[in-house]
Formats: sequence, C-alpha cells, structure tokens
Amino acid sequence: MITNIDNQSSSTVATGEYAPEPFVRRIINLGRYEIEIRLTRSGEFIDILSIKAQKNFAESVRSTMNPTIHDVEKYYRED
Amino acid sequence: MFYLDSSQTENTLSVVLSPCCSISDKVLSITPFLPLSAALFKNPYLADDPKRINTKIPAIKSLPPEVWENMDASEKAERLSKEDGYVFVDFFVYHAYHLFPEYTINRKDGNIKSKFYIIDFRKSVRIQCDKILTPKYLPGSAKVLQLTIETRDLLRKKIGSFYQRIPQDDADILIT
Repeated sequence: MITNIDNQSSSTVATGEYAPEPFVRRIINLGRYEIEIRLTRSGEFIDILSIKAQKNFAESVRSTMNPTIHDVEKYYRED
Repeated sequence: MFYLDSSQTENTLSVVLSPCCSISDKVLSITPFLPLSAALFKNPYLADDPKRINTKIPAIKSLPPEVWENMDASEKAERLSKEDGYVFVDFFVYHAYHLFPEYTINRKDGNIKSKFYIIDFRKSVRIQCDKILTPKYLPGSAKVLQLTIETRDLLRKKIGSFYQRIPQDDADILIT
C-alpha cells in the first residue's frame, strides 16, 4: 500500500502541491432560482449540484412582474 | 386609427384603443386627443421630441437637469440605479400631422405652437354604435388616419405597461 501511494504521488502531484479540481462550478440565475452546475474544464455540462431560491428572490420577482417606470410626476407639476 | 368626434366640440379627434381583433359587437373604446402639457417642456430631452415618452428612456433623461442638481443624494442614487423605463405611464404622444389643428402651449419662457397631441389612457370611454361590427365594417367616413405598424407596437407596449403595474400589496401576496 505504501509503495502504491508513493508511486501515485510521484506520478501525479507532490505532497502539498495544489491540484485543481477536474471540473468548474457555475451558478446560473434563472428567474427566482439559483442553479449550481458542474462543467468540465472544457465547458461540457456534467451535472446539477443544487437548485435553490435566490436570497433576494422576492425583489427579483417584483422587478420581473412590474415594468420599469420612472416616477417623475411630482417634478413636473405646473407652477 | 383616429375618429372624428361626432359632437364637433373642441376635441374633435379621438383614438381607437380597442385592439383590432376586439372590434366587434357594436362597441368600441376610444380616448380623446389632448394638447401637450406645458410641464413636459421643463425637460429639454422631452421638449426636443415629446414622442420620447412613448419609449423607455434612461433615468438620467427622465427629469430636467435642475431637478437632479437639487435632489437628495440617496434618491438620486436610487433613481439612477434603475434600468431604462417609461415616464408618464398614463400617456402616449402622437406626432404632429397636417390634419391636426394647431394649438398654443402657454409657457413662462415663451409660448409654443404645436400639432403634437397626447392621449391619456385613464380617459378612455366606450361608445356603442350599430355600425361597429368588425375592423372592416366600421363607420368608415370617421376614420382619418392610422398609426404605422412601428408606432402601433409602441402603443401596445406602453398601454400594456399601464395595465401591468402591480401594487406592492398584491406583489407581496403573489410571490409567497
């Protein structure tokens, strides 16, 4: 076993050396949800890690439902 | 599409607000042409082209420059953080046209003559007439003009936003 580990170490990375994960995580905001996915380093989809509601989802839903309007009337009142 | 008001009073022109596919059953929604408000001319961006209220505009252009200068910093930051949006969501401006009567806008800085007109979605009314059957079978002599497809699309979007606004109380319930 010990020999085997030594062989593995010498053939890959040294002890303490940074070994990057073979995938990357991405968070996609989709409406009120936040989806975490894994991709290979070349950008191919692997799987979905989690789906959860955004922390500020209430605000995002309000802004999606309501059109953007600049409330300006009070500054245009005729003298 | 514009209709002559049969009463021939001061506002003789009205706009049909019924979507064409809903023109039937002897009923039609119309709203009168109104003169532009002098207040609109406080903002040089809107004074330069009043039709700008028909589209979404940047926050910075939504108010006259002197209003920004005197505005509280927190309100200013909040307003400027918004994406492009409508101003005067109740209104839609019609470009000047030779058939439209010219009128005078009285202003402190000098009167302006204009043939631009505005409609107020809140002032729409229903008319009933036996001749209103389909978009093709209407009192044809009353029709004087029709919007371009592009402007009609702007009108649809703006009147859609007029009805799409959700009060805060309703929004709170809908998202829970």
